[in-house]
Amino acid sequence: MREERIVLPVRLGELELSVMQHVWTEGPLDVKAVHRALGVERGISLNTVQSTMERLHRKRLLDREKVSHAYVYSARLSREEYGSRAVEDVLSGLMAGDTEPMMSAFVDFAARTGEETLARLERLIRERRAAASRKR
Amino acid sequence: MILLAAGAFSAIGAIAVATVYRLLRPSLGKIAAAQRAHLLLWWCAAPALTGLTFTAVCLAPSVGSLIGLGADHCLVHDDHHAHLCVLHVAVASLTPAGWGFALALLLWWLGSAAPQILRVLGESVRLRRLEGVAQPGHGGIRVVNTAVPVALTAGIWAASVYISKTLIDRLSPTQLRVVTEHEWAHVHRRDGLRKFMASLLCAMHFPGMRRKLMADLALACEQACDAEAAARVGDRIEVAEAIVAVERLFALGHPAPATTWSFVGGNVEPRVEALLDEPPSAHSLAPRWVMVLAALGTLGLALVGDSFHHETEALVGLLVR
Repeated sequence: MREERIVLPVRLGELELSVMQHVWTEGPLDVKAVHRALGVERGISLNTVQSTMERLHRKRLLDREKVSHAYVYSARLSREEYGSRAVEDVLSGLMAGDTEPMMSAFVDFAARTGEETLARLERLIRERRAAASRKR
Repeated sequence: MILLAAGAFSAIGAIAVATVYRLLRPSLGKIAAAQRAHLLLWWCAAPALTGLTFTAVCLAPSVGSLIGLGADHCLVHDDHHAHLCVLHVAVASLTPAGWGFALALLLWWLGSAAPQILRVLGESVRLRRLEGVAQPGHGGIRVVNTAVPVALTAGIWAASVYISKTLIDRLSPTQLRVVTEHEWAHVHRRDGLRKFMASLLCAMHFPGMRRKLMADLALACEQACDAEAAARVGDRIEVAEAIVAVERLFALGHPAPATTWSFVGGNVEPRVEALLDEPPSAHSLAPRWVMVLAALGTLGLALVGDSFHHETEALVGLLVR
């Protein structure tokens, strides 16, 4: 069976990101536990936390399972997987060379430098370094 | 009528600057990268500026009449051809040739500017995702937790620097400083905004010329940032070493797909070679000379403004009735 590819949402709100960070750190949690950790100090209601977690579920970032009378939410992607997907997304644009003018990378990702050229450049660098040392 | 004249002048300007650029391009490398980037931005704008300048010169006699500096110029000639003036703006109907020309201009501009705008919108979405996962790092950079050794500057108005944790872990402290200084130089120089403006201004150029100009501008921006990083680190060779080191790291995990091998090279080679050569004089007069030539050209046009105005009316008259 083909693995389902999760489409990352355009942007997570501040509370959404905090909830995700908390679930990533603590593991599966119900709404009350998240509210105790994040909602109380922010002065936000249980309903707000509940709707935020439902939204994250709809965005397919959280899975949920009914345990007793409450839903327990867990992250569908680990923090690292989520980060990697976002970076992959950007890199796919860089590799295709179609991110100009929005992004500029330290090295040009759309075109790799050949081994011979790299070896020649390294030799040149060594020569210049040696010449600079002799001058000193 | 006025818009048609501006479009015609822009098209003529595009042909002229493409021809001149082909002759000047081999010498551009002698100009310091930061100045070259400025010059290339002006070059991108050249067709649009040519259209605006020539149209302004054509309209000068009627503007003179409007502010009381001369007699109403249009009374001098009859209605046997169209008037290119701000006093008698008549709705002229286009001839089939005029319609064809106007349509070609519109398609030309839309075909080149619209994809750029759509691309920027698409990239904004990607960038927001990246923002969501980046963690604040040392010195204002944003750290991305990924196995890919990547460093990039992203954004047009308020750019940010993103560096992956892998790159931070694998580079030496000096190399990392070079990378960071290089990326911050993009932010300070507003290279994202510069390239965005250039991509829109380039819309009046021919496709081949547009690609060449944008590639040359991207290289100039990279080399200008290399030079700034070298000035801050105090050693041009360190910057060259860092570029090769990052290229090697990236190539290890991401060998180029077969289809891109024909473009092997990218901009690593010219950047490293430029860093190992003697830096070009930062006081090169080339951009200033271009300005002086443009000013002299405009002055010359103004001196022959009246006859230029009539010739243009006759020419544009072919497109309208």
